[in-house]
Amino acid sequence: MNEVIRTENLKKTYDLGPVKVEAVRGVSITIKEGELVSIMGPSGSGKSTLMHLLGCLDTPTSGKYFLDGTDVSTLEENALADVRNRKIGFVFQTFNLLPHLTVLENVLLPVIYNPQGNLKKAEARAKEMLTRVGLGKRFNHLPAQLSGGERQRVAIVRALINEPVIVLADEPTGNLDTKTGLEIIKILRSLNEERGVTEIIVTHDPSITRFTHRTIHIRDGLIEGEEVNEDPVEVL
Amino acid sequence: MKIWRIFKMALSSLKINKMRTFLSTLGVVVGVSSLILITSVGYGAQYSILSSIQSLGSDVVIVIPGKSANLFKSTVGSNAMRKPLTYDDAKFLKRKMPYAKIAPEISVNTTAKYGRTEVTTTVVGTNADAFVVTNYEVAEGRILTDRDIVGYRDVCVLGKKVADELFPLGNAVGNYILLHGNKFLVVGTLKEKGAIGQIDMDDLVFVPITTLQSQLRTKNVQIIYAKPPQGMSIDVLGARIKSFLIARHGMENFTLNSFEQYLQLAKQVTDIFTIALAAIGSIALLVGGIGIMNIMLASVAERTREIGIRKAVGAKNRDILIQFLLESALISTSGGIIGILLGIFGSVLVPQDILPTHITTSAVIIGFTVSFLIGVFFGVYPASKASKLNPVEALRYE
Repeated sequence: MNEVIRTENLKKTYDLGPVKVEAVRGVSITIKEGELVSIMGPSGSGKSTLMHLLGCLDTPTSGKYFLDGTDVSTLEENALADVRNRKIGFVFQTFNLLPHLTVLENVLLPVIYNPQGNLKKAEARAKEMLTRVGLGKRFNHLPAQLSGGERQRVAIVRALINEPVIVLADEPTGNLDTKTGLEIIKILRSLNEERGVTEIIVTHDPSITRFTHRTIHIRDGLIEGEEVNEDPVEVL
Repeated sequence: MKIWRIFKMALSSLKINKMRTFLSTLGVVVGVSSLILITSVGYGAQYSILSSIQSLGSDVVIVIPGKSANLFKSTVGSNAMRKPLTYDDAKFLKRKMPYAKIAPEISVNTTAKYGRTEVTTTVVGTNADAFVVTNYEVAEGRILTDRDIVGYRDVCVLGKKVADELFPLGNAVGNYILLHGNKFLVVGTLKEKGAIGQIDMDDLVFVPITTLQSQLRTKNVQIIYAKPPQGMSIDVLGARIKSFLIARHGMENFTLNSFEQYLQLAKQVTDIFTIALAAIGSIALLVGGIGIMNIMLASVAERTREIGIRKAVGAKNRDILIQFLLESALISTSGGIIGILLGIFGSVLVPQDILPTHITTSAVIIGFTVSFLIGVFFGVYPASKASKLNPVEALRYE
């Protein structure tokens, strides 16, 4: 299978004047197409920084990062924006929907910034996917009119709208109750199984790792260990 | 990036906080409307001055006694320099240049009386050429003739206003009126001419210059108008008058002017007036621009997270820059449009007889363009600040 992500000795150091903070101290990981991987670690482990690097929201201090076969570790701001737009889908803990846009408009936001985007086709696809995640009657609602679980489902559809090569979910269940959180994991899992979407779920909740193919443990900016889950548990 | 989409986004962002958007347009509204109003007053003044001068005929040479350096200082130098112009000078010029219209003029303020009606007016002693020089048209009867002049006749031609006041029923011609107590036969009335500067051209009574001079016991005239024939410029005519009069007087103790010069001067004065007023108006516009910048900076700070989200899903710096620039341009341009409409509305409300106003297309175009540019100019800093936000930090912003 193709490698979607490969990092080589990825490092990120924050220069805070007198002190230098090494948030990521040399991470080499590989994610293959169609994988569902969880990245685990306590807060302060550097997993957020790693997530920002993998999401092209930030650039590494050193090391290489190949996304979908191209080295993106040295790209400048606007090229990174383009990569985020077309190759990466984000799902955030705090949903990060624009409060004044409707559900449909939020989902279509990445298409507006996509030079190759076709708004008409994307709108049809958005409606189809929203319907599949149970938001068929909510196209014109505002985020404030939705529950947390519903908002996160909108965010998931938004992440998929430009058909990215990878979906990065940063604590997607962090702001949800257990039952709703499981529903979100179920959706992410079914997208992976039915559509072959490659996904990384960053979490500090060990219970979630049961549902993924592989778990990478991060501590103090380094990979502490990795475990492969031959038989992921079905989400019920 | 789809510019139309970004335009719609900018528009909907402005709709979210309607009160704030309205308040931030207000500065530009006040600035542009005052600019439009002010320039309409300025151009209105210019327009009325110019049109009245032009209606008199700008192709007229004016000779006044005394040598003066400019239009407003009449006499300088010795007594010899103050030698007056006389009716003989005018006759001399006419003899030398029969092709030109030469109209000497002497005027006096007095009363005109018919029956029990008495009005204060200005009696002008002049000749037949005067009516051609000043483009008067006859309403009834006739104008003064050479025989009236030569014969020292007690006849008069009434301006529209005097005629209307003394003869409201319109039967002026053939009646006698009293001018300063002297009996004059009305031989004609004139059509409306309007005002030239401060002079109401309809509040005049024309009598033969010879008659008025003999009553005033003078040979002097206050002014001589000269109009060149078709095909001759006022400069050529002016040069000839100058050489003839110098030959006759032995020195240049008179001054030549033309309405053309008045025209230029009036234009210059009103231009300066308009520009000065417009400069005051632009201060309001500048303040409006600073207001927009202030609002936009607050808006950028408040929407940091939004900017982070947009960047996370692929907005380039340029997309964010254009969005915020469009927002501030929309604020200022809509303020400009409202300001233009208010300015036009205001200038219509100004009583035209007191303060004539004139809206020029250029003022409207400039008002619109300047308001757009104000938005872009004062929007650049907030917009570039927004576009340079780091996505990670922007997303973390609470």
